[in-house]
Amino acid sequence: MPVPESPIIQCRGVTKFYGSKRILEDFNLDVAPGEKVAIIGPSGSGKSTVLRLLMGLEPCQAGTIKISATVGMVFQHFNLFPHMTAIQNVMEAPMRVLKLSREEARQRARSLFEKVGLEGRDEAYPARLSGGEQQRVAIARALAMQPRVLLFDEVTSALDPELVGGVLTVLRKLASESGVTMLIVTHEMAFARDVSDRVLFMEQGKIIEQGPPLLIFNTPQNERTKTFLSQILSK
Amino acid sequence: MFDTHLAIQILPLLLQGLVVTVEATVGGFIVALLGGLLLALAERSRLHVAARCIIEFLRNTPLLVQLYFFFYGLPLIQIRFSAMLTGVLGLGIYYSAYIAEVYRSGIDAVPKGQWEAAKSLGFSRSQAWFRIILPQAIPPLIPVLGNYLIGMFKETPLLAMITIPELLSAARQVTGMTYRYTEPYTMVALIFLAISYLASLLIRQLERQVARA
Repeated sequence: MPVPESPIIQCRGVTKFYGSKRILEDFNLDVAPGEKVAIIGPSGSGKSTVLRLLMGLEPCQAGTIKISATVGMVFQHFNLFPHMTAIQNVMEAPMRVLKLSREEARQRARSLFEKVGLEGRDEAYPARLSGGEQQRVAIARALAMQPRVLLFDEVTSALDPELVGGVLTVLRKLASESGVTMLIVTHEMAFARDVSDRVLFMEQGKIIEQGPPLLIFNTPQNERTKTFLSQILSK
Repeated sequence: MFDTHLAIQILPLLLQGLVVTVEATVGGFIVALLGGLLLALAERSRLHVAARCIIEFLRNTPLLVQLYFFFYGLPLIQIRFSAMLTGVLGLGIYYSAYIAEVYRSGIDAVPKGQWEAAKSLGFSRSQAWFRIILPQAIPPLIPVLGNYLIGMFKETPLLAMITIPELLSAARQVTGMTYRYTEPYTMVALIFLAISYLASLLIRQLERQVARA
């Protein structure tokens, strides 16, 4: 991989333990502005931890993480605010953090709802929405803060199979139309192949192999990458 | 024998005492709700050791001792409140330790993902507390808080010990005037029973509403 001139994300020697269990070991990663990076690998390989560290949700024990941009995140379990309607979920941060007026925040939320296919769902509480709708609210909520880096942590893993497609469609559109830098942890291999510029295969807290999606999926070099892909693609 | 006529005659006097009892309960409860919230938040901050010490002290010493401490002790260091204010603060501060624990259970029940979502959207810590966490944590606690309100109401006769003219004081005054004991204290018990019972029915109603929401 050519190393970008000025990466928007830079991880150097990042090491992370949970108790005595090593989750990440000497993890290094540069991401260029606008790049779409898919992170794949078996569960427990540290994929989600990378995103959580980038978001600042957890500290790491060694190494440095530099992000020269605003960051947003979409979670596996949506984490919508259950005491607020769908549109309030999206409006709250722009109003409180960016100090937008209620009207500006509402307009922004409305246009995002249009983009993610949630027209007419403004006043529904999260409990009244399907999983797919909830995740699209969460995507709109993250986008409303106009971050330059967006982290997606297994955003379709908690969805019923018939609801996965709708969310992926939204993400595909987002990836192709916007210049936002995206890091996507996913088990959806076709999706990873289609939207990413680069795929990282992780195992046991390390990047085992990385490269353009066609290379990784069609002609993986590493034995473990091959094993993982053959297992997951034969399902 | 129970003199019904006397019981009715002394009712206005007792009701004057009841007004003071209710005032002290409401005032004390407001102090307890705010003090409990402060303690619960402090427990989740850098001040957690101090908060824990205060809570343990308040829970492990008798309310009456605390009331005496405030009533007789504070004037020695030139802090003088009226008996009523001392009583309201004493009652409220004592209960704030219990109510802090109630808040804590509510706060613990809010999923960690809510904090993470708040952080990922750039909310400050206080914005996360007051816009995201507490609005979810508190509504389910309303029935429990209501039970503490009733508990507190029933503790108010202790305030008679620091000269506050609440319901029990009023009854004692009546006994001093009439040398009758059965009627005033029976009436006091009935008044407490009536109000506590009605309040508990109300709380059960609330409980059902919270369960439905």
